[in-house]
Amino acid sequence: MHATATEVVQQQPQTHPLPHEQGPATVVERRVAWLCAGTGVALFLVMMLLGIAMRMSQADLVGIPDAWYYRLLTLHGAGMLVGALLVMMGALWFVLRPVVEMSAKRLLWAYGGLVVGAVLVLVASLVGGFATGWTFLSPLPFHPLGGWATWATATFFVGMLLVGAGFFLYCIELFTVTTNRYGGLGGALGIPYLLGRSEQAPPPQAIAATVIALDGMIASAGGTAIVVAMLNRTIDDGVVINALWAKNLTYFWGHTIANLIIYLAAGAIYVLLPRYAGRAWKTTKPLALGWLATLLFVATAFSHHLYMDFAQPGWAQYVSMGASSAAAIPVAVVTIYTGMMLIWGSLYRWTLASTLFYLGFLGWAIGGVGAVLDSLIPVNFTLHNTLWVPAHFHTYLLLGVMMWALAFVAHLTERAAGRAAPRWVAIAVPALLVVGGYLFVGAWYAAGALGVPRRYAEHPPGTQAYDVVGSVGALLVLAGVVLFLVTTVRLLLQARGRRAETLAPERDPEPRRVLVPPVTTNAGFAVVSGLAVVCALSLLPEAVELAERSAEAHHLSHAAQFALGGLVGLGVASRLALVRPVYGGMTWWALLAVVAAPVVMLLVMTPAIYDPLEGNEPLHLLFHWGIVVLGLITGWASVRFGRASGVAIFVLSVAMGLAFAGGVGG
Amino acid sequence: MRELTYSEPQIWIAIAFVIISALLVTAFVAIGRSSRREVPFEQVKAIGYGVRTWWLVGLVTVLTVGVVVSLFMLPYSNAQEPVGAAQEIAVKGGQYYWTVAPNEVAPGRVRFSVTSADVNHGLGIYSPKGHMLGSVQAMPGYENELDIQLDEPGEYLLSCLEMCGAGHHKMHAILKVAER
Ligand code: HEM
Ligand SMILES: [Cu+2]
Repeated sequence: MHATATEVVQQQPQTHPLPHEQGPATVVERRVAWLCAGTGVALFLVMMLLGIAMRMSQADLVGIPDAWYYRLLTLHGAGMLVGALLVMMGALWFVLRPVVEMSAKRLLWAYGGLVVGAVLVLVASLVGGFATGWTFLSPLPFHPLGGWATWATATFFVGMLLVGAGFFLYCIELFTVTTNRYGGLGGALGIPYLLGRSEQAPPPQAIAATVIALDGMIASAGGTAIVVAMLNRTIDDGVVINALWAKNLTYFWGHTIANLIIYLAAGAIYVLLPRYAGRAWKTTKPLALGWLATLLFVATAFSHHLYMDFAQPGWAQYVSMGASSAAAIPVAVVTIYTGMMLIWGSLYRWTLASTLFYLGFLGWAIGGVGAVLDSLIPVNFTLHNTLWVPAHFHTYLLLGVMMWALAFVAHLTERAAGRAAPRWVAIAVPALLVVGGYLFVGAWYAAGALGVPRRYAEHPPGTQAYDVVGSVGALLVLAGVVLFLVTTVRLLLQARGRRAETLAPERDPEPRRVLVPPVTTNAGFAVVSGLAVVCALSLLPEAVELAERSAEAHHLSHAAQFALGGLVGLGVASRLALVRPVYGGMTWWALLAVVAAPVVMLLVMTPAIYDPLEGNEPLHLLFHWGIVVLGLITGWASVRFGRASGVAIFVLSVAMGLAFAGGVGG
Repeated sequence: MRELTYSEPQIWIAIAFVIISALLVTAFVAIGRSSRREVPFEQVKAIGYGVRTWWLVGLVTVLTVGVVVSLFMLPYSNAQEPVGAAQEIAVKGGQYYWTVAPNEVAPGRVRFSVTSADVNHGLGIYSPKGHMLGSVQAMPGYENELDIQLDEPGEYLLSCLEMCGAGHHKMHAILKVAER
């Protein structure tokens, strides 16, 4: 007999029958979900052990040498974020695939980038001793004082580049499928529906995916620029990176991605929570409006990491303060509030999975309060870089995201095993996580208000009591996670051989839908040609000479040459696509081209590479034409992604070059 | 470092945080319990949407007040009134030391001009009693100016607040404020 998770859950007493859609998954979806969630949770476990070691060393319960503390810190931060990203990328993919066509193969590329990147970061920190914190603020990586070698720096940044590329690929996938499926960017954001022009709106997880993907792509462009700049500086000591520029880009990337993790999770929750509440989470106008606001606020909040850099332009600080506070509104008023409405009086089915789903909201909410308080500039003046900061982000990462990650694994387990975890486990695991987790972050909030700095291998005298309480809390969390893992593994083993879960037949292959190319109208072609002519001026001998005056000018001219090639590629390929339609489907070469070509363009902007050519006219000319060709490849390939996605990819690749010119000299 | 003590405004920030968190926990417990009896969704929506409007209005008000009040309490020196005769203190951070010139001043208004000799550092200022007063970043290539009132005589502790390498937590210096 087949017993689906739904049926089993239904057998529990005093609960209503789940009315609808357990949304059977296909074999592929199930595998992808397990792969991402499994890898992510494995990373969590390892990084958690490192975290506990660090915490206990601050409490003087174990001894870790200072240099090792900072290595572990670097690895823990980067590893945890990659783990959390992996689980949530998988979860959103899992709930999105039933409504839009997505390719598992392409997801695996993204997965590979993140995993290989994480391994390189691990090697750089544990073997190479690299220890700058995961935020790698320039120029610290180049001032190791004997702590690590150049190869470790290079390994770390190649790792970061791969992590970034993996997430970029994932975002391209989401953005391309949603915008092509729902009639462009506006359609995928639900704008016609908001304006009352259409009754139909994309489902909530698709709107979320569009917003996340667009912000993720924009952030990735910034991330590529800073990481490649750091690589250039690793190769060539002559490269000079402006420290303020570097810090801006580091946080534009790092903050935004870390923040997006929780939004990825929210997108998945839209589908998973209703399965336990028995009420559907539908797209409403507040929801669509909320995500539009989120699109804006997530992309503009990062500068709160630079509040205490008085050299940062004032407007950036004020925009950030507004955006950081305002970002709480859609979260609190739309997502969390609606979630609570779905649960209120619903005869919610309290299983291990659903309890953890519920508790994750609390972590998000409380962590958000800690964050909003700290995003007020006068408050930040006294809390900046104190333990208040890890306190608030562990509240929503550990007690929000990790809670949801475990919930997702439990959900998959309950489905696969056809039964829920024993009742005592469904109580004990959440209890351990909540008691331990809030004790753990509570000690940090208190110590942060006291002024204890974050990222200190040793804490001030008289504060060890906080560290001991924090360590005890962390150990309770570990106990909860171990009990959780033992339970899920046992459930899965018991279910082996028994096909408990009904699986959906594999979905149709991607339809060969005709893509709308980026440029279609005569006016559009005129604009593209005009811009190309302007960019072509950068190839004139006078311009080339002017560009020799400073490295920044030189980089600017490279950006223009890249844009020239890109515009030509974009225009010609669009024109051809109008004559002979391009059908849907991102090919591997197109993906490779749009990710790799801009990176190569940035990588060669290293004086050690181009200076030797300067004396040799033909070679120098060839070098510049090479940049034009890289642009051509990017522009040509971007047409394969349809209108919204193609334009975004192309514009962002040029933006990388421009951003580079803004802060990298030599 | 030295023993630290709680001070304003952190006490008030922490109290606000605890109160709001307690309210949230209460709401979560109530919602969790409500799920045990059935309420038709139509009814939940009818009441819930009404409450939501007030929730929105309340939240927007609180956030707006917070942001606007903050704009009047900025630590940035150019946002404050000219302070006249503030005593200038040049501070430079390096792996892992501070140079502070002069390292003794009279009580009153001081202006820290902060920069770095190598990587990013952060200048955290702790009062003689161990109050965390505030911080400003030390960034290579930039000069950050912080105006602050140091009335209490004694030894102020300057500690690094930006990760700068394996000796980060050992990067401290003393600034003396003389007796009046
Ligand atoms: C029981 C679980 C955990 C423990 C014991 C733990 C412990 C720690 C400790 C001791 C630090 C250093 C704090 C400091 O002194 O500044 C830290 C930093 C950090 N943790 Fe965790 N953590 C846990 C879970 C997580 C999770 C789930 C995430 C993300 C999903 C995470 C992400 C981070 C990040 C990004 C940092 C900052 C690293 C840096 O400053 O460069 N942690 N954690
Ligand atoms: Cu430091």
